[in-house]
Amino acid sequence: MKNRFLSKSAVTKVQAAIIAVVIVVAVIAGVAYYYSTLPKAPEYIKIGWPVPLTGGIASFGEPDPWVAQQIEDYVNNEMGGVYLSEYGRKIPIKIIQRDTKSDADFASTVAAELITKEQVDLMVVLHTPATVVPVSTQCERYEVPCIAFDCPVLSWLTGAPYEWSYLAFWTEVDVAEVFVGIWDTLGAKTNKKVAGLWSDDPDGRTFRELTIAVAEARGYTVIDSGLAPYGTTDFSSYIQQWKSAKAEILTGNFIPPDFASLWRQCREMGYIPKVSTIGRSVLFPASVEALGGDLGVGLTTEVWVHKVSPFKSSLTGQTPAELAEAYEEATGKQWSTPLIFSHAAFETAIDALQRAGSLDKTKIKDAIADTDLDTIVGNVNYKKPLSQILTSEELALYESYPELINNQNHYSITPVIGGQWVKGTKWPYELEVVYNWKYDNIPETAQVKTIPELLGP
Amino acid sequence: MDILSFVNLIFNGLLLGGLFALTAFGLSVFAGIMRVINIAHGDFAILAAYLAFSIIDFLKIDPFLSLLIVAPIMFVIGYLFQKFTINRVLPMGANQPVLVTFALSIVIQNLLLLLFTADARSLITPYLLTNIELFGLNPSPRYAAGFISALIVFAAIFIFFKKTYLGKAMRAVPFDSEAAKMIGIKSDVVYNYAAGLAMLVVAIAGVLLGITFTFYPDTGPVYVLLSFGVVVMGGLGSLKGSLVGGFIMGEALVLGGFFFGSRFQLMFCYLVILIILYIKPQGLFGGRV
Amino acid sequence: MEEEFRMANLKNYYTYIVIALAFLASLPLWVGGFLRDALILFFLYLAAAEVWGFMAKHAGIVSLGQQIFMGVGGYATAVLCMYYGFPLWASVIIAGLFGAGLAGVLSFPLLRLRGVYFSIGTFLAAEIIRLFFNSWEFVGAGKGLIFKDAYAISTTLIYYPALAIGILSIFLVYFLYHSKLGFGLRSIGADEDAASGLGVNTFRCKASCFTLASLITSLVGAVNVVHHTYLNPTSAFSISWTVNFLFVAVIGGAGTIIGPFIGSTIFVALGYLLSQYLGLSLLLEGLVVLAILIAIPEGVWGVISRKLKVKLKPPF
Repeated sequence: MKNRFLSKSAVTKVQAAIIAVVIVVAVIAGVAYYYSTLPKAPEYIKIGWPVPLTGGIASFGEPDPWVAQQIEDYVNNEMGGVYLSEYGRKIPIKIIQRDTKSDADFASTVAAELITKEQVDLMVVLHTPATVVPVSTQCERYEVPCIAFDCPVLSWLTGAPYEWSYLAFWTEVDVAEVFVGIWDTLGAKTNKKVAGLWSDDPDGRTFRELTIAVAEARGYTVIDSGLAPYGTTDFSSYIQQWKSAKAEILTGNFIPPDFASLWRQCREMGYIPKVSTIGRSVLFPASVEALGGDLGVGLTTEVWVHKVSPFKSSLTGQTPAELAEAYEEATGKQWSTPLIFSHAAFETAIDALQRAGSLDKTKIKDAIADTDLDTIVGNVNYKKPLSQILTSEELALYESYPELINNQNHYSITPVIGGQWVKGTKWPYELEVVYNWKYDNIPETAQVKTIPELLGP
Repeated sequence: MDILSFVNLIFNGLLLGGLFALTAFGLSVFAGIMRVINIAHGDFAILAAYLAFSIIDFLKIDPFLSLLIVAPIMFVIGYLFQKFTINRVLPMGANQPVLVTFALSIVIQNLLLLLFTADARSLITPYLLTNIELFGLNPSPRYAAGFISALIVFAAIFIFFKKTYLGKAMRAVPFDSEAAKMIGIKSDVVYNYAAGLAMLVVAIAGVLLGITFTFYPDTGPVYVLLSFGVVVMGGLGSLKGSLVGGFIMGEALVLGGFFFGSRFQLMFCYLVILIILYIKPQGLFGGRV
Repeated sequence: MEEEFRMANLKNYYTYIVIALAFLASLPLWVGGFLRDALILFFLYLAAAEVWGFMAKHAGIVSLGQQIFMGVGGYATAVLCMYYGFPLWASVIIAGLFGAGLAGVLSFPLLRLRGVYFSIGTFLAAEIIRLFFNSWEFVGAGKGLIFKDAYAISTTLIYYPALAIGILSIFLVYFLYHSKLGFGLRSIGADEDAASGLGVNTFRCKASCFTLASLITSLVGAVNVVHHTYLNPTSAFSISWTVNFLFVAVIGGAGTIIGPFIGSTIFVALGYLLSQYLGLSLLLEGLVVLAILIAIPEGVWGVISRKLKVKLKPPF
């Protein structure tokens, strides 16, 4: 057996190793402590921005690096910074983006890092509940003002009540109105029989409840096929039912790949409904093209903002069309709606900062609460009560969701209208506005048509 | 629903099962010869789909034709993978290959994410997106393509194993590597070719999967779980077993959806696999563990 | 001539250990908020990797289903606290015990399986549980849960349970290695059939190990939900948890106690450093893990101890 007694050299070596480790850790800790306690001079206004750059919803975040660049350039170079009255001068902004990897838990982590390490003054967050909710809750926890866009309101309100976070987007109630409204404009062209299937997640569930409620109230018969979990690949039993029942309208809300599976199977089984109005799945050109063949033709969807929306950026003065074109020219990619919303989020942020005049977080929060701004996606206002914005019937529908009423001063409703995908000229598919609901200021660019009409003989 | 619709459902389940069987063949060959369950199996299939996607994007050819390029590339990848990775870790203990293939699965997924972004992808075959009527039934053309491919591949591998020297060597080595060595067969080299063959089959499956379903960089794991289920049902290394197992899996998916609703469709399939694993880990048709 | 490794005896280092513990306990009082967050992550990943590594390396049980316990630990904590009014930290502990109980139950179907079959079985079970939670209205199904009660808990307060769980995991691994149970486990890891032939009750040993390891993992999941305050089935039961624990364990040195210290430091640091770059960290870590598995399976600590010609009493 080898000698088990410790020789002097071995003991010293182990001790040396341990002492070395302790010194290294102490040095690192000391440096970290020093930096974390440095007084923060307002050299920059730091805005934290967790974005899904990779993962399942990365298509939402794709334009964002470009948006960050554009906003920073404009604010720092054209405007010379944001004027804060407390310091009596203009201060440049710094947008700090972090990839959330489309994972809600990781979004929490990066939000916390932005707050505690980067010590951001303000948080901006967008793109589906999976990103927006965890970041908003971290902001509540650390008491940091948060501006959220692009997240359906009811899903966001699962984290209510909020004190520091403010959302601007549509409610799922509005989308149900738009969907049924699209069908109403077709009038007698359909037999008013609706087949519905939804993804088993917050979006899907809320859409299902509301679409059925609104549709049935307006005299439609709904075949409710329930909820399908992510990754469902075979829908034959449903499609068979819809065929036998002769449902001429199909509706639902899915993640794009699931809708692709469903829609392709419909075509194979010879089920071509006259109208197919789907939430979330066909928002982006890439998702529509990925369906294959001419499957994308005639699909109708909710549209958050369009090139023809008559709004203007309070920051750069661009209209949605101009912003879209600038993006297409600079990146060579087709525009998508999140692009415009990301821009609007920063308009709101800069406006709040100017009115707050300070980097004090409470002042910024109060400034956000006071917002009344015409942005590139519409007017953002948190103070206006719902009774002034909605009709009495709409209010009645809202009242079935008490959280919508109780938290009304933390969200602002942006317009949502109906769109239809048709074969395009510049790009393979282009989106037409076919139903502007109550937003008469947004022009309709085309008449809604049934899918068989658009597909031709 | 009426009888005809129900029969249509069952029929399509069978066709879908063919595609599952095809996807499982690669895993079965790999596991049967190298005795390693490749956890990155699904990711390799998706890798093949992405390779096909790039080639189609560049050369504008039909997805089926792209196989002529994708298959040889995947063969080489399989060969190198076996030579430099699996062969090295096989002697390190039974669980080392598990860790390695798992890590490889993560690497492939993130590499695909980096190269192709997370956008949805599809191998588009417009001519398959039509409605076929056959004796009152509506077979799905895409599922049918998968089914036919499965039969062709099955026949090809069967003949390869039975009639060719390399094929017979591949079956001999795991059975008795000492005896094989004595007649001059180097097991390492045989393994390399076997892995290449397995990956070739995976390539075909991957392209068919890409034609039938949308894919993302992280779509791999679903297919390795389903393929694993198929292989377990059929018994490790048994091609016939995988074929039958595939059909069972296809029906399970379709009927699970019918009876329990699509909410529980996939869960039902996974439960079936787990139950079979529990009752008969060697597979329904025997075979070695 | 073969190099001689000198065995180092831990008893000589007790003073150092006490100083180190005191130092660690004092940390949250003077480091910044960001470092506190990093340290919490460090200790949580450390604990989970310690037990995962032990199971994988010494007992031959490679679990790809640790996410089951991360998710169950998290959900149990939130539900007990928010729905049933249990005090928060009591919920954490009960959630840990609940997770261990679940592991005990799962042992029956899963531990019948050997090798990679077991591994995939754990992955399957995790997916089934994930799909189940996604449809379970009681816990908010796909919408998830927001753990409001945890908002008021400062990171300083969360640090101590995280540290405690880290230390507990070390004790557990040490105990598992040197106890009679551990002896049985290691013989199973070496050759299960031979061990069974020698009279070791392989099922009971493996089940005990799996249950104890899951206790730690569930506690990690519980503290994690107090820290992050948001749960949804997709991320709570994501395979990423297992991936991360595997990385921490393998990079540092699977099955060793010191290994995960190194692994967790690298993992947490890389995660923060690369959070600015498009998803590179997982790819890099995956490649490093592959390289280590193929070329230096003993991990970073293995290499260090080899170079310094130091061998500590196993499993250190």
